[in-house]
Amino acid sequence: MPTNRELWQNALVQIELGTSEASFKTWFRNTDIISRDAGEVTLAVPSKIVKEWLMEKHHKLILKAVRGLDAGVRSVEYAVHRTPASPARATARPTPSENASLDLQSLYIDKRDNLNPRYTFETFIIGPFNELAHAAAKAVLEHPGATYNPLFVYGQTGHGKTHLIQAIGNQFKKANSSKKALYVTSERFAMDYINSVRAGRANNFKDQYRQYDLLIMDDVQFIANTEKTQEELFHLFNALRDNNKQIVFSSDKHPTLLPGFEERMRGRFSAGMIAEIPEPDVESRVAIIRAKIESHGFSVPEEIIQYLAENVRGNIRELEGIVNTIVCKSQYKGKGITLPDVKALVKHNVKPNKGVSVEEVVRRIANYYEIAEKSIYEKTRKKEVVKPRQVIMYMLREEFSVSYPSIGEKMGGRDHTTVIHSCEKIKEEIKTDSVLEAELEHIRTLIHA
Amino acid sequence: MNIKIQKTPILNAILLAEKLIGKKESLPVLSCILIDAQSAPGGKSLVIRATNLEAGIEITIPCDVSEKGTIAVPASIFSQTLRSIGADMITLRTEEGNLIVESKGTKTLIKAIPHEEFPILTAESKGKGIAISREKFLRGLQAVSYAASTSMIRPELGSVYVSLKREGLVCVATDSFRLAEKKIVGVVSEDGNDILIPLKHVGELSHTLERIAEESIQLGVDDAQLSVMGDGVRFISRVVDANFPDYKTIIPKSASTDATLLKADLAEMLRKARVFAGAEQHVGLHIYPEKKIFSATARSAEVGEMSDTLDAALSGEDLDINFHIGYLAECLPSIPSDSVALSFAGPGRPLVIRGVGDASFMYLVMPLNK
Repeated sequence: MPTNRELWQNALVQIELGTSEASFKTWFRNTDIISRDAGEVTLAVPSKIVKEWLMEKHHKLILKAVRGLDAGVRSVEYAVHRTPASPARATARPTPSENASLDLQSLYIDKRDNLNPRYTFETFIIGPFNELAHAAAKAVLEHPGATYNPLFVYGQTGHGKTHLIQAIGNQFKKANSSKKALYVTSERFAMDYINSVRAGRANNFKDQYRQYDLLIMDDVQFIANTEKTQEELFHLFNALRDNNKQIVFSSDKHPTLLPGFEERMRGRFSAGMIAEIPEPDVESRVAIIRAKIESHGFSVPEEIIQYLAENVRGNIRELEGIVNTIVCKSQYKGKGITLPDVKALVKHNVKPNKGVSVEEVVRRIANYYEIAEKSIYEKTRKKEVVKPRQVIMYMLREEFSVSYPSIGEKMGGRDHTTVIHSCEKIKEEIKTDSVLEAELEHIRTLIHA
Repeated sequence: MNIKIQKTPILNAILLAEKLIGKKESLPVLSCILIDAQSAPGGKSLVIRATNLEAGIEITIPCDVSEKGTIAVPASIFSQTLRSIGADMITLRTEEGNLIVESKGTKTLIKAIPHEEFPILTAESKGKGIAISREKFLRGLQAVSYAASTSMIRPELGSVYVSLKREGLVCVATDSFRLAEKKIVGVVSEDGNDILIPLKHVGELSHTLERIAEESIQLGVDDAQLSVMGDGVRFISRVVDANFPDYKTIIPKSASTDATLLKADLAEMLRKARVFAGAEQHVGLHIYPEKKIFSATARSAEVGEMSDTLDAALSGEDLDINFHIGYLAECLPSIPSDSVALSFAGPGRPLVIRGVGDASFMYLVMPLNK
């Protein structure tokens, strides 16, 4: 069955033949089918005048055209568009972009602390994957500034870092109305700093940030390689911590792996509690998808939720996107959505795990360790080459299930026992070496990117 | 069709209807006005119609109908013809599908366009309309419409919000940089829905309201269409179906600095500042209540700079703040009082402007970021 859009586009072709060009352009501009249910088609039109005209003069033509394409259609109704497309008028006066705007669109976000009230613990879904981070957040709230200071939350994009740390801010605000919290992205912090330096108000800047009882800084990785901003953050950090003020950071990497940060900064990031939010497990995904669908006031069969949880890889944001698409689609169609529909949707929405050649894997990992690609294939036993080579073998085995002999062959004609040894060695090392584990996690995203 | 009619009423009606007609229409009949001496009751009047598909107008004029009929003629040609006629009485009749306009000593033939193509303007909306004072409604619209956004990207900002309640009429418009609100007490007969009239149609509606003689008009909203009736004129327009922002929450509750000064002084200062502010049109206000200073500065690299001190009654904290001149100046004509009260809520927060002793009008404007 054609979609509403296809149906109407095809019907318009028929209608165009039946009317004059001017009339077609005038009356059928900005029209569309908004719903099709049990043989009744509803057509959206831009104004009541157009509605009356189509009903009066073109109804037969429209009905005939639509029926010709979909025999199931019995009647056509007309409705004035919700938000009609209006011809854009030339702006009479240029809008001064530097003018602050009234806070109409973001009434939602509290100006004083930048916290979005949408993010709360009530809406935060806890699963095995984020238990630790959640518990740490709760502990911070119980004794702010004392238990874990700073709290450092890290994880890949879309795993719920911002939600968690904003929830801390909102909860803190609720519990201590007299105290001040601030949520700031590191980028905003850097901009503030630069602006204050430019305006010669660097001291103001210092005082301004030091007044908070809880400072939440999101995505600190974005101020990598900014020497002065980092120095400012360093002093701010010390000042807040000396006064037992709570600090919360988030980033996409473990602090020791953050490139472009000075040692003293990394040390401070790691001084309190570090909590990772890894990729959610299938059960958690099921819970998340169910909650998202329910928040739309919707319900879908269990098999669909299960299918989505198992097949949509990647972050929660993507999951949310798919859920939105499904909800929208089924509202649009006006009936329940079935598993085949979802399968078709997921196919469009998820990037296929495209094949990566062995050479490509070698190149990317060699790049990651900053060694020459060809040294991997050579018979050298230098320490800086041996480890990457072992990592490559491990990755090929674990991620792409390449057989041991063929890995050996690709790695410059090595024996399969060498390969087995390498894989075992890495596997053993991960258990004790968290830095290596994080490296592998990073490499994994690199080779799948 | 054959009718006898006085020149002045029909010319006025045509001029009013002509305003609505779009410049470039693909359908020729849309640049026409429809003269309908068919459907009017009693055979003693004719109806003039014009539309641009989003808004429309219908004007009923008394006349002497000896033969019924309907015809559509290009609006500009018909109005040119009528304007050139000196005599008081004219005759309109159809001949072989064309319109003949006759008066003492003149005869004109205007090529007509098949009137069957002319859009249908819906019959009166169901239910009784809301009665409202024409002049007050017009004043409310004019007091705020300049503050609406000229783009329809966000339809609710490109429209004037009108709230009709028994206790009064409220008109509000904002483009997110400033906001104007006009409240008029007790001019509405009964509670009605809130409506959002697109800025484009506010202009057409204001123009129509200015030309209606009757003091009380009827207002109705039905199926995303507003209709305004009075004095034989019926104006209809599309309304926007969106939610107007909850603007009351952004009005500062308290002021940190207050200034009261003569409106004429402020207007004069802004006029001068305009000259010196260059392309950016920024003006700085400097208020020091302790030292009793209210001064304004504007400068541009090309023209020079000015610094004026104004007499004002001041209280509160010291403040330096910058504004876009246009945003300050535009609200002044809507303030009837001689003095204006400026209430600043501190740096980076909106300024509230009101007329002294006038609770009906409020204007909110955001300062510049720097």
